[in-house]
Amino acid sequence: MPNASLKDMEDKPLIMIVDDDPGVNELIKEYVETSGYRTLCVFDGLQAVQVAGSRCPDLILLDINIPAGGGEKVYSRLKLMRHTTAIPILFVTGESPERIANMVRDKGMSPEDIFAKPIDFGVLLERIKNIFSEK
Amino acid sequence: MSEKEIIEIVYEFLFDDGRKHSFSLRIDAENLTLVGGRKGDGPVWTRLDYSKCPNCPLDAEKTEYCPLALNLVDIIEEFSDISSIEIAEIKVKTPERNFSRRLPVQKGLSSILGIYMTTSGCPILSKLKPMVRYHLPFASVEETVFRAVSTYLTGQYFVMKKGGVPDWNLVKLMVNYGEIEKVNEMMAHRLRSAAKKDSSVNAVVILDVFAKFVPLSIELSLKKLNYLFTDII
Repeated sequence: MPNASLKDMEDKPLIMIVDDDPGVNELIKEYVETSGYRTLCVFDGLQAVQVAGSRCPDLILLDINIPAGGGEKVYSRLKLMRHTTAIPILFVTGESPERIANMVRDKGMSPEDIFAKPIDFGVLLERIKNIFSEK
Repeated sequence: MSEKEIIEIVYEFLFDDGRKHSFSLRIDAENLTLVGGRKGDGPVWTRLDYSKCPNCPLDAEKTEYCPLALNLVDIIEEFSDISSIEIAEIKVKTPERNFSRRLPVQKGLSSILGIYMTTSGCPILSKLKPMVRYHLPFASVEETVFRAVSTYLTGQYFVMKKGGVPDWNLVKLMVNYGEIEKVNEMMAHRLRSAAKKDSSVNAVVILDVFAKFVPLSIELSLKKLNYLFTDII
């Protein structure tokens, strides 16, 4: 029944992937969709804020070093906007996770977690599952 | 004795502020090994026992430095302060043709690292050597999956011609890429210690995307490449 399958699809959590590299974006999308989630892919900070504001995803995977804003600014903007303030955000980074953890602490940010690239998808998907089961 | 044939690949990065970085990679055409690679000492992050890959067959008693890490020292130092998303005009000259694209640094750097990784003497990554002969700068995921599978199947043809059992189902190719992922992960660890900014780590991340996509695509029966062959199947 087409309506039932559309309904099923809408019930799946929507995850927004923010990464400037199309290949990285595509890989994350492949793993996340295979695990039963819907995805939205964006490639820079400006798009991330705009799309998150209009689509209100259930979770955001946010690369730190992206053009047009940078992950830190995107994080801060989303936390200031009423529609997006409660969306859980996971940082994904090519930089040292320790350096990012320090930055997060210094700036008073509270992402759900920080993942170093190359991503261990087993760990990432488990974390995502836990976030949704805690909700 | 005739001189050995060399494949030379030159990468140039031209930044908007006038900075220029140039790298010439010389590869022995017969054995597809880097010519004139770095010998002797290297920084601590190049030592074999520093973040050694769990599947590395080399013995740290006999091999003090990771041959791949050692060859990356110069390029990593040059790009240490450069952000992965900085845009540059990247020009590549191969024996067959020239390429030029305006792209984030990480895309060009990943193309170069791909060459170093396969030609430096790493026993795991050396399995990808035949792909270097037909190096394709700035390749997309689909192009790389196609090249990886095609190259592997060509190799299996030669296995069959020599009386061996060819792996037409690509089982060992998936295993090989699983091993390559482990090397990528440990190389990213090394490079995080070596560079101040993220361009070199992200270059490895881009290569790792390819390494993860090849087995993933095979698991999905190469569905995304199927359209290319509708006339013959």
